[in-house]
Amino acid sequence: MSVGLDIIDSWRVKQERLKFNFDKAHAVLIDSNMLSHEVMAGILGGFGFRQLHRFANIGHSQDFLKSSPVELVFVDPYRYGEAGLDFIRWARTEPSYARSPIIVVTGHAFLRAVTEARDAGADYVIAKPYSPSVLLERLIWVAEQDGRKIGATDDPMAHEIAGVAA
Amino acid sequence: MTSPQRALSEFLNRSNGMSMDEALDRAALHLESMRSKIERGLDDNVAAIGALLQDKSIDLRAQAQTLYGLADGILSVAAMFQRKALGDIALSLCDLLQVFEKGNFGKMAPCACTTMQCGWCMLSPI
Repeated sequence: MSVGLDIIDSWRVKQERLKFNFDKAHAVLIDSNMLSHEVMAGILGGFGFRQLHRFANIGHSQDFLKSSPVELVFVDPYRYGEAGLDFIRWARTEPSYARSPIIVVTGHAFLRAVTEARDAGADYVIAKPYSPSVLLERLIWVAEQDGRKIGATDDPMAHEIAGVAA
Repeated sequence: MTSPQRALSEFLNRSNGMSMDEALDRAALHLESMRSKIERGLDDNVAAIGALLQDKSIDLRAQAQTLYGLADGILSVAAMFQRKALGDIALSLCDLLQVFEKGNFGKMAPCACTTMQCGWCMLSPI
């Protein structure tokens, strides 16, 4: 077995032992499509999130973030044109959100779109269609990073992202 | 800010928490309980696409943007609810609209998944 596969295997064994409790974590979902909202909220509810704040309007979500503690943000920025990526850039300039996880969930899987989102400050880009297991794996990976880290790590998932962005 | 937010890592490694398998089982139950609502939503989105394509009063750009939003909504959920063919059509539609919108003929980013369980893999067998 290659070294890369060994790393992935050990990561998976570690995840099997992991226990988490997100019931007090506040998460914001920003997407203009209600169907996407419903499904994402259903999945996150299953993962134990009880404090879900849903926004179709990106300006309203910004107002909310300015006044409320939020530990995690999911956004599809491409629904909002340049304002979507501007939102991520804005969050990164806010001291409270400089290191908070921002996960982009989008049907825009073009390499350029992925790179743009990451350059704006997103921690992770998940391409639609996704499955609950993929969403959970990425969520755990992001949570395990102690805040936002830029650059390569020894984590197999990080190498996976590097492969996408190359 | 009412109180400082916590690092997401603080919610991990909790003795009163759930495992990944438990979380996925609960998510599956949640989704199943939403099935009829989601299927209605899918049908509504498909009907809205049909109506949009027949509406000649909307300019092409607005039509394309609305079409993308509707197709993206379908794309988000179709594969999870065993509507693979519909998801496949929505994915193609989204790709096509992106190509036209951006004039970007570059290659698609590959699936970032190693589990081979995600919707992307299911829709794009290798």
